[in-house]
Amino acid sequence: MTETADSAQRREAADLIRRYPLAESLSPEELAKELASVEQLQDAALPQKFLGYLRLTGPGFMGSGLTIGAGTMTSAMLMGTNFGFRTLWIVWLSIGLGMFMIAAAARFTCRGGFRVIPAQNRHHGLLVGSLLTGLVGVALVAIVFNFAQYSLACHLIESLAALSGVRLPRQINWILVVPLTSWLTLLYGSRSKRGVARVELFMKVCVLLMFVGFGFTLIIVGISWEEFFKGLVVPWLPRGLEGITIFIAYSTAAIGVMDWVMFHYTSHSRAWGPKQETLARFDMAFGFFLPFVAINLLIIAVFAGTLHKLQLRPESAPELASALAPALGAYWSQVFFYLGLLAAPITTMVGMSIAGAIAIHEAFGWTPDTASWRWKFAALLPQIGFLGVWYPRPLWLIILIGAFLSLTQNFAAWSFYLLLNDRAALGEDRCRSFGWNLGLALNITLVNCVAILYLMSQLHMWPE
Amino acid sequence: MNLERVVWRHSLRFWFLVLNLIGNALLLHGSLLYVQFGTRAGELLLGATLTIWCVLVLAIPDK
Repeated sequence: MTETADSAQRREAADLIRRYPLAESLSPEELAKELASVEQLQDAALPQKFLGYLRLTGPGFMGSGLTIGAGTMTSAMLMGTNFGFRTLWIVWLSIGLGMFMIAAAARFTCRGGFRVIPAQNRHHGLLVGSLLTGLVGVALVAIVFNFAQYSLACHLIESLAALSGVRLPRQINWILVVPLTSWLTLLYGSRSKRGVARVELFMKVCVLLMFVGFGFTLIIVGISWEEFFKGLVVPWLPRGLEGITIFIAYSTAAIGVMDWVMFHYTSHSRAWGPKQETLARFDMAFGFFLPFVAINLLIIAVFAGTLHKLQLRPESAPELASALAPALGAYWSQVFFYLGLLAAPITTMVGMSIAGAIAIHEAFGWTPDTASWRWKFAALLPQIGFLGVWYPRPLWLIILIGAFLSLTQNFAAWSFYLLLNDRAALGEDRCRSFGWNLGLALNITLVNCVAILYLMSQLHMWPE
Repeated sequence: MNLERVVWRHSLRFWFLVLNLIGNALLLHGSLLYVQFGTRAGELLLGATLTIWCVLVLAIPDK
């Protein structure tokens, strides 16, 4: 590369870094190198391109690590236990629809170059941006839903320790979880230690651990491939209203406002610009979509092949895990299973805490400075979830936040859709694709239905 | 159809989002009554038609 091209690339890198303070842990030289390799990869042979892009991924794995948590695990286990392989198709359909919104989030970062919550505030008002998207959709959810992550993680550590004959009750083992998740949360974006890259690496390793853990478990319990493929491509739902409820609930549970916001801001933390939009889409597909689908399919298949066949119907995640563990036989297979499960709530705790801190700062218009006490306080707020060890369900809070979220998530989705189609926001980079808009409109329809179902069930119109 | 045309302070695109929400509500309410009592097939059909129409209109990009 000539000196002029090199310095132009460094200038471009410095401009990209200035867009968002969390990207300041990157050096312009480092980013210029990434930009150069992205340019080179565009003309590379397919295998080289694939491996090159894979090396540069990150926000996608942050997203899958965040999304696959206690809630997703429990949903997948229950789907497998209650319906066998027959609802597998919902997994790829729901996350596939969610990807249209993630692609919009990536467009805002890479081509729009703006930060989405302030942009929502400017175009659609503070109520939609700061309140519904930032505070309700992300920050409050991060705090409240961390209780369930703690509850599951500490249950699993207790079971894992018991396998080795060690008694480590969850009322004690939470002390191990707090420092680990706090350290990882505070590492993200910290200036001196390439914090973003390290946390992304941790997420990648954990996602791999989940994949290996459940893959190994599935090898042990076996699988009926015929039923598996049938469940994957033939849509089936229970008859009547139960089917409608299950379809709407499962298809929107996978991806929500927090995931859109997280992908957007973690891409900003990597200082991604126009040249990295293809990389962002690759990351979305191979870091987010595929791991999410693969891990969910593995969990459903494991439970479909075991508890479903045995007609056992435990209801909570720890009960489901304990019911399955004896069927796995040998010590190491149980260890793998528990480690795969444990990786899920841990990555979600870290992801939610980072997302919560980002959202709080954006909602109030504060500059995110990871060295400040304000950032540390916001990032560690969800750690109050350790109380979940004693009170696994702060029911009134879950009901309140669940209600807010159900009733408001669709307005955040409307706002993302309108921004993507707005000349004033994106100029020539606004959405020009019928297919993309169609995916977004279907996604919006589903989140609308969640709000309507919620209202109808509160009015006792929709049966439980 | 120019979805960017402003009508009553908002773009047509926004009003189609509102209409879609109404369609979704009719669809769900209609299916509830149809599945439970076999009535309100008209409401169900109207909701489904409105939803499909709005989704297809909302998919049109501003070129």
